[in-house]
Amino acid sequence: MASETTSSPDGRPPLPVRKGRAGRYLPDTVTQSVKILVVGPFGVGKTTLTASVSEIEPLRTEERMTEASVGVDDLRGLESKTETTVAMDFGRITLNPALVLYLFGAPGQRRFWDLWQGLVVGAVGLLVLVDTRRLEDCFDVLDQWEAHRLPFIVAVNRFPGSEDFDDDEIREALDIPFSTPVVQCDATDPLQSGEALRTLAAHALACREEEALK
Amino acid sequence: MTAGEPGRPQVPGYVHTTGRTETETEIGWSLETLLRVTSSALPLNGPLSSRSHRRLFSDCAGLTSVVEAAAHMRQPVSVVRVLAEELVASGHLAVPTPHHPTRAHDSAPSRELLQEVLDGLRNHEFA
Ligand SMILES: Nc1nc2c(ncn2[C@@H]2O[C@H](COP(=O)(O)OP(=O)(O)OP(=O)(O)O)[C@@H](O)[C@H]2O)c(=O)[nH]1
Ligand SMILES: [Mg+2]
Repeated sequence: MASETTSSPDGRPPLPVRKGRAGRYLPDTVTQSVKILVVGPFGVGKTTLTASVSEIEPLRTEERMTEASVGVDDLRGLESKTETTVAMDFGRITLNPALVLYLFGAPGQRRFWDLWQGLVVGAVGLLVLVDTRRLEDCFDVLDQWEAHRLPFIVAVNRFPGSEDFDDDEIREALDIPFSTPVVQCDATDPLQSGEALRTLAAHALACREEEALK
Repeated sequence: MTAGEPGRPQVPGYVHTTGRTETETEIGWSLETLLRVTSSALPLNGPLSSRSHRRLFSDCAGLTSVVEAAAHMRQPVSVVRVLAEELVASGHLAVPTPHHPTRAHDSAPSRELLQEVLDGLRNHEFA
């Protein structure tokens, strides 16, 4: 497994690995698709994590957001609107001949989620990426997503210069249940990012089983 | 894995629909909804022969998803989804029948599906 990695012994950063090992189309045997949402504040590494585990070069989907602006033009019956384009990156992993997983790097701000109808519906769960140098940026993201009641885990993206915090310190700071898994993860590393996805899937399954007992 | 599972057809089935109304209730449309052309598809004509319809039709030559087709077409998912619904209703495109059907009143993935996701991730070689 490790034979594919390109990290060098002298501590230099790993070389990027060219994507495109998977074809554009899915195998004909695939009958089911599932999704995981990678969420977190601006610049926390959502696109980086998606790219490191995706079997295709990450793709980008854009929606247009039209916001009405109040102005004198309205009095004359003219349209006065501003158009913004909101982008979301995504990747995919074919998990077995019948099942494909999509990863969506969803924007942090709530007002953007509704642009993609059904983005949250049916998701396995959320991978909440946090940067300990600016943990407070995640509070809002957590507030918004917790309302959806999806299983989530926290992945601490380690940037150079970040201080070490243990998992309980992170849970306490974020005010999340002690049963919530917290993982340390370098988003640029496919192995660590893949491990974070496994942790989320195991947690989602555990939550589902717990629910069934109620 | 599932390949040797008894009772699973080797060639997947597709959600068959007769009309638009039925289509909308049967297919839980989402970004990741799978799509491909049907083997029996007739040429596109009439209102279904717009540039966008033709582009989506050709982008679905193999199995793909709404969001992937949208990304390649450089069109918003919301636009492509409407085109896809029309082409599914007309029988030009089809959506595979999921092997873990979603249940009414509960959009969350079933225990079995989550187990399959976990197994898939455990077996997947990252890096
Ligand atoms: N050293 C290091 N740099 C990282 C890591 N993850 C992300 N970066 C860098 O941080 C910057 C932002 O990463 P992105 O992946 O673009 O973040 P994002 O969450 O997608 O950002 P937005 O989509 O703009 O909100 C990029 O320059 C990345 O190269 C990491 O784990 N380690
Ligand atoms: Mg990004």
